[in-house]
Amino acid sequence: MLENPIILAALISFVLGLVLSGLARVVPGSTIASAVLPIIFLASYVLTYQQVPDFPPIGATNKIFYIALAAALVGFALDLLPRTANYRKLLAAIMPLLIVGWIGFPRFAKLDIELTATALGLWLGGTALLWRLDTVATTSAERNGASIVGTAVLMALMLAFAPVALLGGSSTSLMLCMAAVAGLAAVALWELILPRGAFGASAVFGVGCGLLAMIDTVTLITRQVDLLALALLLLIPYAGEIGARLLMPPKRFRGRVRQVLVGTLAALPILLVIAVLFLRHPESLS
Amino acid sequence: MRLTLASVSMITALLTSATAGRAADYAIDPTHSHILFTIEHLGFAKIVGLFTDFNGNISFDANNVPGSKLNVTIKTDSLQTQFAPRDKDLKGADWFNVTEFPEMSFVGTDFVKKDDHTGTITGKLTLHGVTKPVTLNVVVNKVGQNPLDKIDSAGFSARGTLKRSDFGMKTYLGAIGDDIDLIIEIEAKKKS
Repeated sequence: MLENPIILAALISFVLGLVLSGLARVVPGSTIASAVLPIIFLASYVLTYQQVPDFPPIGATNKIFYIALAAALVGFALDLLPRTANYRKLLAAIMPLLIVGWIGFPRFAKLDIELTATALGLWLGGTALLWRLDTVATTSAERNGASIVGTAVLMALMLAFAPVALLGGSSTSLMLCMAAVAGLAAVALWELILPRGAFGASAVFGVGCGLLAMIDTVTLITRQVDLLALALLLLIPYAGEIGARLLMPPKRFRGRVRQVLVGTLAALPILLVIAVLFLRHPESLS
Repeated sequence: MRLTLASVSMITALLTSATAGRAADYAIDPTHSHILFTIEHLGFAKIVGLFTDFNGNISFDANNVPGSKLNVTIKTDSLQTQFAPRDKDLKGADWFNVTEFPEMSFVGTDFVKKDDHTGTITGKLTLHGVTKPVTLNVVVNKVGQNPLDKIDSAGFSARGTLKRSDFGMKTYLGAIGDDIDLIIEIEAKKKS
């Protein structure tokens, strides 16, 4: 089983998540614990591509690493500073635009309506994702369970994007997603056992922007992505909270149980994504 | 008069000699040329791929091989492996990344003659935005007039190996081989 590179990478990432997230609990506060999430993403990248790409990066797949790294550092700085809410929202809008611009740059010399609409969609969709992830991380109602809900949303986003990427001609994106999900699962496990609120700006921007860079690469560079299935990813950050309000009486489920249920419900749109892919690409999935 | 004839004869001889020493320029005939590669898949078999869109020029003189020139440009989007889903994957950002790197090129820099029919060409291969030296073992199959179209032609077979990781293409190393074997068959026609 370990001969399968995807399973091996996922296993290493899970162990890394357990170790790093465990060690982060020795340090007071949640800043270091939050930084473990982008570290897991970057480690998953290295496990997948078997390299730390040269700088400046050549090609979109190499840019993914530096986008995640830069965004994680910005997020880490925000976690250290007080009163950063406005900056975080501003960055949630600016970062997706920068990512679309940098990844898609080789194609923008011949800008047409389709490409403009796609780039605009990626920017606005990316902004919606980061905005919501930041809300999960900072809203007082969610604060206590932000780490579980936020990590679950990131895991659901990657699990949903993995088959989209595979059909889009990027099996390595699938591998990166699966490795990152395994590492994030280890963090979520620690948060259940010994909560530390490990979902700050470094996690939101580091992992979020890394995921956006992957999405933009498959969409703009490999150019085989199913845009409808991709658009359904936007449901994931909202599905947990909306589902919880519709299905669960607030007084009956509270605290940790509610957080786990919200996190689980966030994964529901994955079924929708898979159903859409099956309906639209039966030949590829049969 | 005798002096004049001698002069003409001498000039003619010199011109003939100069012409014989000048390399002939050829253009690759894509309809009779093939650029293939093989790469190991999980240790079981070698997958064969080929590029169908390429062009190039050769300057070749059998009597002055080191003075030869070669440049070939390959359109990466023309990749085929007889399995469309794999082609889609290979053209994507993880492998050849045809959107960002629509062309790969080989420029010969060092031409070495071993015997009348064999030699090596070392050149700079640019793939995936990375330029590295690659050496090809070359057999000169035939240089002469094509009996069908009466155009002077030259035919070469070349073989070589490169490591894809040298060019930053490290996707699934281990499962998919690092060594890429090149099989190149070139027929080139003399430029008029």
